[in-house]
Amino acid sequence: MITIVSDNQVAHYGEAVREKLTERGVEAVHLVITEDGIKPCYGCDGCQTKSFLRCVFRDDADRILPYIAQSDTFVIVTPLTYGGYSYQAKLIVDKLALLGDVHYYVKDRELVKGTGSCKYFVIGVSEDCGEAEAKAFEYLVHETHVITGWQGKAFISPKIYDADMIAKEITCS
Amino acid sequence: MRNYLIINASPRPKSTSLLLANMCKAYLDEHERQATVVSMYQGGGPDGLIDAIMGADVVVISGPCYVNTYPAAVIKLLTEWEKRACNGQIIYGMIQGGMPYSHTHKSGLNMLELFAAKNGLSYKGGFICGLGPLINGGTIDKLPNSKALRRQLTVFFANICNEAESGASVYERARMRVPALLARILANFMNRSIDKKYAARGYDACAESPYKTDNI
Repeated sequence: MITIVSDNQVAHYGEAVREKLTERGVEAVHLVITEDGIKPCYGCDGCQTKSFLRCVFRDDADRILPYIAQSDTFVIVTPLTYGGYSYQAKLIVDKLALLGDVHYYVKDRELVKGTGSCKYFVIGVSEDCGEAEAKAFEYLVHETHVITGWQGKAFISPKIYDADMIAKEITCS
Repeated sequence: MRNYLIINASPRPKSTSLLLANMCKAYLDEHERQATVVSMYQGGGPDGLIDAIMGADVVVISGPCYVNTYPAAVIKLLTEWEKRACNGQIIYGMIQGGMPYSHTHKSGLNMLELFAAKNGLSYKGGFICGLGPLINGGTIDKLPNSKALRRQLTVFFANICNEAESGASVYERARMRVPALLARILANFMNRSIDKKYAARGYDACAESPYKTDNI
C-alpha cells in the first residue's frame, strides 16, 4: 500500500497523484493533514518513557501514523517552503522517528538510524522555485534517506514533474 | 545601540539549544551589546515573537535538528514573520543534533538562508553543533570535542557581535571526526544503553512500532 499525506493547502496535488497511482493498479490512500490537527513534537521523551514509541499527545497523528507505518511507500505532499516542508507537513515529519528502529547502525562509514526498508517520497509543490531552493529541497530529502536508510526521491511539482510522471517514478522505483 | 534577539527554538525547558543561546548572549553582554534570549514556546508560541523580532536588528535562531532540519515551529515562525513584512534584519542560525556530522543538520541553515533571500534579510551564516543531546543542556565541556567547539563558538559569536559573515569553516573546525571503527563502537555502546533504558521500563527495544498494528 502507498500512503500519501498532504498539507491541506496542496491536497489537490496529493489527490492527483493518488488517482494516477490507482490508474496504474496500485492501492493508494490519500490523507490530508487538517489545519492545526497535529500538535508539535515537544521533545518530552514521553514516547520513550511513558508509552513505548507512541506519542503521548492525542491528535491527528493518531490517524495518520498507522497508515504510514503499515505502508511500503509513503509520500508527503507539501508546499515548497524555504527549500523544505511547510509547517503542517513538518508537524508529521517531526513525528516520523516514532516509526523507526531505535537503534544505531553504521552505513558508508557513518552512524545512521535503522528504520526499515520503506520508500519515502516528498513532493514539493512550487510553480516558480529557483535553482537554489530546488537544490536545498533535494538535499534535505536526500539527507533523510541517508539517515533513515529509506529509498525514494524528491519531486518538485508542477514545475518539473506532473502527477503522472510522479506516479510512474513511484511505481517503477 | 543595536538590538540582538536570540530565539531558543527548543521546546524543552532545559536544552542544548538554550545552552548555546545563553552562551551567545553572554558573549554579546561581555562586548556591551544589547542581547535578549527568548523562548519560542513561551508567551503564545511563534506568533507572540514577531513583535520582538520587528524590534531587533540581529536575529539568531538556536534550535534542535528534527529529521534533518529545524522543528515545525521554526517554519511557522518564519512564515508568520514573512506575513508581517521583514525589515532588513541580519539573521544567523545555530542548529544542534545528535549525529556528529554537519551534513545531517545543514538543511536547517539552508532554510534560513533561503528565507532571508526571499524576504530581503541578510543571512550571514550559522553554526552546526553535533552530539548536542549528549549534554542535554549541561555543559559543552562534557563533549569529546569541547575545546575546539568552545574555541569555534567564540569565533562564531564574535562574528555575530561584529555582524560579520560566518562561513562553514567556522563550525567545520569544531566538528568531531568519527572514523568508521569509532562509529561502530559508538553504535554498539549507544544500542546497549538504549536496550537497557527500555528494558528498565519493561519495553523491548527491538519490538516493532505500535502503529504497525493499529486499526486503519
